[in-house]
Amino acid sequence: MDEKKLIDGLKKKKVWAYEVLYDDYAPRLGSVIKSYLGYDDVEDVVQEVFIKVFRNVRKFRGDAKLSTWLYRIAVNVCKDTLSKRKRNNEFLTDFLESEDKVSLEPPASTNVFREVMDEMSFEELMNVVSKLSEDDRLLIKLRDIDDLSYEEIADILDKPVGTVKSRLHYARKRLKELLEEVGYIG
Amino acid sequence: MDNERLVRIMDREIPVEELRVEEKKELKEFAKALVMFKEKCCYKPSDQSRERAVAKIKKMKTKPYRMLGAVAACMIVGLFSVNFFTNNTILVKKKGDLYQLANVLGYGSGLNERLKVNLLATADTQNQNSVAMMESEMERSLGFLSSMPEQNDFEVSGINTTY
Repeated sequence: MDEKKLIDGLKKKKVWAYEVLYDDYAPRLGSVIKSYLGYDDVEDVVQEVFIKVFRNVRKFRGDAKLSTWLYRIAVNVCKDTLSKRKRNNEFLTDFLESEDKVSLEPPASTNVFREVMDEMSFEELMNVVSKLSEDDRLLIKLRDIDDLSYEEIADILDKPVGTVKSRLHYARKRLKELLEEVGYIG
Repeated sequence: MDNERLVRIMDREIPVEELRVEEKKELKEFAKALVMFKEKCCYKPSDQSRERAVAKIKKMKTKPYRMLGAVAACMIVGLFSVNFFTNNTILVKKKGDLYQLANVLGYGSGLNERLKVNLLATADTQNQNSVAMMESEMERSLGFLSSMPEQNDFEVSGINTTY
């Protein structure tokens, strides 16, 4: 569908436009949210993104691509969700006894598992990836998986292109180091 | 492979053909990790979640109209209430000490009659319909309040003792 027509429909609060938007963008936004938050249950966050779109679509001037604007909303919703989750975790951690603290880190990979598998398993790799920060995961997802340009990423994150480049450089370096640590590469 | 070179390869600044065999192998492993990461992040919304999201949007779309309806309903109820209470007001006048005294003395019924007659007689005259006028009429009908308060006390106490 023509993006201009879609935006027009969204601004006029037409239900069909939101249905088209959901069909076209929910999988992409959901995967970005998943990569950032690092957990599977992202339906509520995706819904929150669409509610934000409904409320703020009149503010969309069309300077950037619709997808860039949607990604930006998704990232902002993720940041809000994460800060809420951190606040809740802090509260719970304060509440619980120190010895009963819930570990938020994924379980470390075991040598036995490596020997049995002979190759890095999916879960093990995910443990490596989860050791990256949220921002690093997001940068790698947007650049190396979704293949967005540096300019688009800079627009989404509201940061200068130079900053994005340098942060992505460190994110890739960190991922490479983590993969080397577990002997996957190098 | 050093990090600078990896970044340049990932940004496609260095063509894959120019890579050494070891670099290609390392890059292949790195790319495999990225593909696994991509698989992990893959999201396919269910029909149920789509329905939920669309229903939420529909609900938000009709929210202003629903609020407007609620406000209109409140205004109609308010107007009816004001109209009802304006047309069905009962004027209640607190019975004063004087009225109670008249009842004690047995003048109560006579006073009521006189008061009613007086109200009917003076209905078209605004000033005479006031509370002050009614009280002065009651005073006159009792006939003993025009004298001094001390005397009234005496009268009352005297009556009470003989009662």
